[in-house]
Amino acid sequence: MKNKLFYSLALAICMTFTGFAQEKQSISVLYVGYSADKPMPENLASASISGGMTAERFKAEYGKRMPAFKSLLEKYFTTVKIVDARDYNESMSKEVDVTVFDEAPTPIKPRVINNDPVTGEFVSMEPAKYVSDDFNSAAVFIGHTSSVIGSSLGSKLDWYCLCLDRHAHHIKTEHPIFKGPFKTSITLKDMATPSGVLEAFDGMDVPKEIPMWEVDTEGYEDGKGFRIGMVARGWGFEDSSNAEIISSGVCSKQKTAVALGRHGNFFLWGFAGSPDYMTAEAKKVFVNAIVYTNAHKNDKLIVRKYNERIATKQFIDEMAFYTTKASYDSHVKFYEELNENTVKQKAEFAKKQAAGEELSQREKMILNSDPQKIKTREEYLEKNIGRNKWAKITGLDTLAIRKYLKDNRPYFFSEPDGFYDLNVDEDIKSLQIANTDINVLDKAISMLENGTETTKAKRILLRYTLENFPTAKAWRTWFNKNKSNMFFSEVGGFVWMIDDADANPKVRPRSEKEIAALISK
Amino acid sequence: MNNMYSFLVCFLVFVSSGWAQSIEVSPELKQKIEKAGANLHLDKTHAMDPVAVNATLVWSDDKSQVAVVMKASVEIGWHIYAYVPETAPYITTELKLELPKGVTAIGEWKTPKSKPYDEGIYVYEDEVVFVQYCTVDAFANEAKITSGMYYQTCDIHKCFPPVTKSIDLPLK
Repeated sequence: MKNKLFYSLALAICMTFTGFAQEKQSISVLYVGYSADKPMPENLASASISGGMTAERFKAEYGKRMPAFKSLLEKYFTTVKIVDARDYNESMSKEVDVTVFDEAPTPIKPRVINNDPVTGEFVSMEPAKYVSDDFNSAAVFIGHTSSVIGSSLGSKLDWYCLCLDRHAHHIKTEHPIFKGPFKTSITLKDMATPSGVLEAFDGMDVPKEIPMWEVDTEGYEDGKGFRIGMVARGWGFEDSSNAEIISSGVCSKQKTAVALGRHGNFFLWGFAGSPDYMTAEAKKVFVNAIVYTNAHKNDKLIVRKYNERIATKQFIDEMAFYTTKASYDSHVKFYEELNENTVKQKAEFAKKQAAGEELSQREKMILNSDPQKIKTREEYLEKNIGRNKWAKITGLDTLAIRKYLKDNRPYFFSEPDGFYDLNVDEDIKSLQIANTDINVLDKAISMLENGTETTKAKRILLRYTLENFPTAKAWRTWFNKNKSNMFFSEVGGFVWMIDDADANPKVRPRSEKEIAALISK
Repeated sequence: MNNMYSFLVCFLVFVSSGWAQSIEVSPELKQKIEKAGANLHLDKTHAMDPVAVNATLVWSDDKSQVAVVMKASVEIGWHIYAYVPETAPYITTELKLELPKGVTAIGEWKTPKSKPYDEGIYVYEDEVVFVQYCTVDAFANEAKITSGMYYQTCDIHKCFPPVTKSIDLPLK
């Protein structure tokens, strides 16, 4: 009996210690940030370096983030390495399981702007490169680093807005990062819905309060120059199988802005606080995110989003919204209140000035301002709709606009370098097949096989795929082999792709000019 | 004697500081500014670079004063920030000025009217002109004024990171 008790106690103690030992995951993590041992970077005015921190706050915090992350990571992972961003080389990421980018490394190639050699007008831009085009190591990006580093790679974790504060909302609470392996609860609290959500075209029905999760204990909205978090664009984010939105967050954008998300083996932790400013729950979720990213370390990017301002068909909904009375009324109300407030303040500060009192910078600015001209309904429509090429067809007739958008939705597409510029593809419209319907490829191939409207067929295939086969037979072979494993990506350039990162040609979607040139050969 | 010397120094300092503050900009120079601003050519703006900036110098007839006229053109639908409260994430426009020896600013930049945009945020849109008046004494042959702007531009879909655009303006 005594022996049984002894052995039971010994077993219980062993299990307890084993439990504690299991806290660390056998994952090697590399943290890339700024070391206090190196001089402070210059050019703090660049958000790519400061992350939107004021210079004063940056200097005060310099060198503190690295030890904070190191301490947190060492608590949960067996192998932790740290490197100053200026000493980082991408081969270091090959030596570890997951890299945490808290700062961007030194660029390896500057930004290139291509202008028309004759007119000098802007043609295209290639972002600066911070890693090579072959970089595919698993990484967790803190805030703006996801776009600074990922832009040249076509990452969907793009720079929508450097304006993320410290709370998450619209959270997928069932996601694995909230579950483990490090257990934590997620405390949700109803808080006032951000105005950016309510005023957006898709936010009119959002309640005035929504559940939120506190990630950081301080944010830039506290007005003390804190580093600012980043959200990525939500439209088209999930149009490939290995990309997922996990949460939005308090920012000046709509509810679909992505604060936490994954694209392949890249994870966006949009919130800016170091572990010194993370809540206890956030620390657990952050390390869970590293574990989750490691689980996806071999998930290479399939879709490459090289143009962060490419419109998706969701833009049609936004355009339709602008034609509504509710949209215009909301616009008028907003500016009427703004102007009313400005007039009151101007009067107050004018009085103060007349009394010989010193005005603050803000007060001087308000005194030297004019009210916003409130647009007429026509001007409002002109601003929001008139810029579209198809507006020549509809004019500013709201019913005509809505009908045009609804009737042509299946046929809208964007050129690869289009900036919020959707146009109707008359080729597929003539076939009455949507570009989102894989039968559009089948039909085009059949046209090639039958020798009917072959130029149109070629245009469709070159526009909506990354392939370029010389014969109808080759097209058919490719299509039959892959059609059950294909998907349509709008942010990837309105192309049909094979759901396999190694199966698609390493080329970019084609512009209409490139398509015409290929066909004329 | 020492007391007299100290008094003279203090008097001269007092007078010179008061003198600088009371310098009036010549009316004929002020009259030239509007036309100079209107005629100042700007590069075309586009969606990848929505703000064009240029500057010129406008001299008083007697060459004792010069105005730095800096104009910015902002692409339709875009804006730059005239004022951003600390609780907002955007960058207020900063006007930059480097003056050579012999050139002294008279007061601060004259700024155009801004417009309210959002909670406590004020913006500049379309075309805006900033003016800095200066007094001019003797200056070196290669002397130049450098005028510029550090700004962030946004539209409803995108904000660009802040940039600085500068223009060198030779005095001769």
